[in-house]
Amino acid sequence: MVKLEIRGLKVYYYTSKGTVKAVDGINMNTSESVGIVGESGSGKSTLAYAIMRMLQYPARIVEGSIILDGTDILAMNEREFNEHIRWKKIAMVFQYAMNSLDPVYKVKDQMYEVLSNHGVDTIDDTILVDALRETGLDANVLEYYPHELSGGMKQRVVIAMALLLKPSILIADEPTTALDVLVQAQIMNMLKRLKSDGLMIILITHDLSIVAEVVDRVAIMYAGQIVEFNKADVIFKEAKHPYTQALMSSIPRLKGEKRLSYIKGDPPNPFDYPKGCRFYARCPYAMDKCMQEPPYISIGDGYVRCWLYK
Amino acid sequence: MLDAGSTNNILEVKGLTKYFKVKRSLYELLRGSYDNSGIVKAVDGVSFSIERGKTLVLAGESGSGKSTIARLILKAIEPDSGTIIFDGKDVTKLSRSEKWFRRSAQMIHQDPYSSLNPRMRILSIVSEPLEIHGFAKKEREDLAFKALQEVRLEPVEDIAYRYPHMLSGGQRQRVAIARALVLKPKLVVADEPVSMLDMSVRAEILELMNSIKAKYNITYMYITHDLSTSRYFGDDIAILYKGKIVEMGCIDEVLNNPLHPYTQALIDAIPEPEPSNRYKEKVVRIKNDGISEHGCRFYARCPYAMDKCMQEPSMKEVRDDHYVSCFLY
Repeated sequence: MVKLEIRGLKVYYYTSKGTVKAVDGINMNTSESVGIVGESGSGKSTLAYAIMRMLQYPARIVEGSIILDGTDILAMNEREFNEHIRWKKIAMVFQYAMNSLDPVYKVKDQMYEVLSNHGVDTIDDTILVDALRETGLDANVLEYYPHELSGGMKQRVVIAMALLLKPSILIADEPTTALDVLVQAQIMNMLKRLKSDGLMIILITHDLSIVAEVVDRVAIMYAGQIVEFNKADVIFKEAKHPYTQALMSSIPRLKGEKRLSYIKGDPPNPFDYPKGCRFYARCPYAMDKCMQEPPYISIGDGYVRCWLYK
Repeated sequence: MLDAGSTNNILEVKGLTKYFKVKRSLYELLRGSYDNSGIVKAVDGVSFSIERGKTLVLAGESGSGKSTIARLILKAIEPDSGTIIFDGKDVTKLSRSEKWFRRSAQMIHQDPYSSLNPRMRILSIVSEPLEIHGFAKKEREDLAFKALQEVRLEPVEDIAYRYPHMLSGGQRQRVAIARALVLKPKLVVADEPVSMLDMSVRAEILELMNSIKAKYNITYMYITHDLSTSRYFGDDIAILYKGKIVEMGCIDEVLNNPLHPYTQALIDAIPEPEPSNRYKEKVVRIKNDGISEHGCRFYARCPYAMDKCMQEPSMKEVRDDHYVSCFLY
C-alpha cells in the first residue's frame, strides 16, 4: 500500500475578481520522500495546505481525495482529523516559520503549547529534549527566548516542534530559504538523517539543487498541475517535460560551462488558464496537438504530461 | 584588485572601517560618548578597487558586513575611517549638495516587493530620480520610457501606467533596474538583486544586467551570498568574513582553487543538482560558532587553526591575481 496518494485534487480560490485554479487536478502517489518544485504561483504551497487541511476562505477543495495509509483524510470530519492526523501523522514546517516563534515565551513554553493543544498533558521535559536532540539541539535551548537563538537554531526549534508528536510525514515549505549556505547545509544534513530514520519528507521549494540533495522523488508543478513526476534520478538524468528541461538548464552550477538559460515569457494568468497544455505559450516544441489536454504518459514509476511522448 | 592608483579604477576603497555601538546606556546617549564595549565591527579595514566596466562580487554570509560596505560606498552612512575614491575624486567627505555623485552611483535593492513605492505608478517611480536632478517634464518621460524599454518591460505603454502590485517579482526587479539606470550611472551597487526571485527568473535578470553593462560601460558591485550564481556574473570576487576580506581575486581562480579555509567551507556547503548526493551528508568541516576578537577572525572555527593565527594575518598574493589573508600560505 502506498503511504500517500492524491487523486484528482482541485483547490480553487473563489475571489471577488474570479476563480483562481491554484491546484487543478493533481494525481500522485508515493511512499518515499518527495520534492514538490515549481515557480511562485504554481500552487505548491496550496497543495501543502490542502494536505494539512488548513485552507482558509476563499480557498476550497473542489474535488479529489488525499489518501493516507488507506484512509481518505479529506472525508474525515474536522475533529477526527485533528485528533488522529494533524501533527500526529502529518506535521508541517511553514515558510518563514522561524519568524513565527513568539518573542515573549521561552522555547519550552512554546513547545508545551503544541503538546497541550493536542491533548498531551504530561509535564515531562524528556519529550521536548528528545525532539530537540533529533534536530541537533541541546536541552539548554529549552530555557532560551527566540531572540537568543540564531536563524539556524530557530529553524531547528520549529522542526523539533513539528516532530513532537512523532509524525510519519513532515511537510517542509522552503525550509532553508532565508539561511546562509553553511547553515543550509546543516539543515539539509539534518533532513537527510531524519529521512534515513524513516520519516517521509515532502519538501516544497523552487530550488532543484536542494531537492536533489534530500528527496527520492520529484514532482514538477506548473500552473496548478504536476507536469512530471518520477524518481529523482530519472528527473535529473533524463527530464522529459520541456518545462523540467528548461528548469534544469537554469540551475547555476559551480563547475562547467558559464551559460545560464532561462524560460522566456511569464506563467499563464491563474484567473484564466489556457485550454490544453499550460506550458504551450513558452514551450520550444509547441505543436497544434498541445491545444488539447496533455495525456499522462507512464515512464517507469512515474509519468510525464506531454504530447511529445504520445 | 589591489593595484591602487590605476587611472582605470572607477572605485578605490582603502582601510574602510565602520563600527556600530549596540549597547548604549541613557547616560552615554546624553553625554554623546561611550566606551569601547558592545561594539560590532561591521566593516574592519577593508581595501579593494574595481576596474571600470568590470563586476566585483562581494560575497559573504549574513553579518559579514557586505551590505554595510554598500551603504558606505553610496554614502548612506559615514565611515569611521578610511577613504573612498570614486572616479579619481575623494568622496569620503562629500557634502549633501554635491549631487553629481548621486547621479554616478546608484543602487539596486534586494527586495523588489518593498523597494518600490506601492502608491506610485511605474512611470513615476522610474522618472523620480530625473525629477530630483532637475530634468524637464517632457525629457523625463522620454528617458523613463526608454529605460523601461531597455529592461524589456513589454508592452511599455501598458506597464508604465501600472502600480507595482500588478507586476510579478521579476518585472518589479526590472523596474528597479530601470530606475537605477535612468540617470546613466557609472557604478551600480546591486545588493542580492535576484535572491528573492524564482530560479527560472534569476538567469534572465542577470543576463539583462550584463547586456546593459556591456552597452553603457557600467561597473557593478554585486553583493551576494550565493557563490554559484555569482560565477555567471562577476569578473572578480572578494570573500568577506566578519568585516574583513579573507580572500579575493579573479572569480574563476578563487572558486576553482579556494585557498582560505572559510572559502573552502562555503564552497563545500553549496547544494548541487546531483541526486546521488542524497546518500551522503554535506561536509561542514568548520565549527559552528565562535568569534575571535584578535588575530584571524576565523580562528575559533577554523579546522587548521595554529598559534600563529592569534596574530593579525595580512593579504598576500599567493597565486596569480589571487590574494588570501591566511597564515597557511
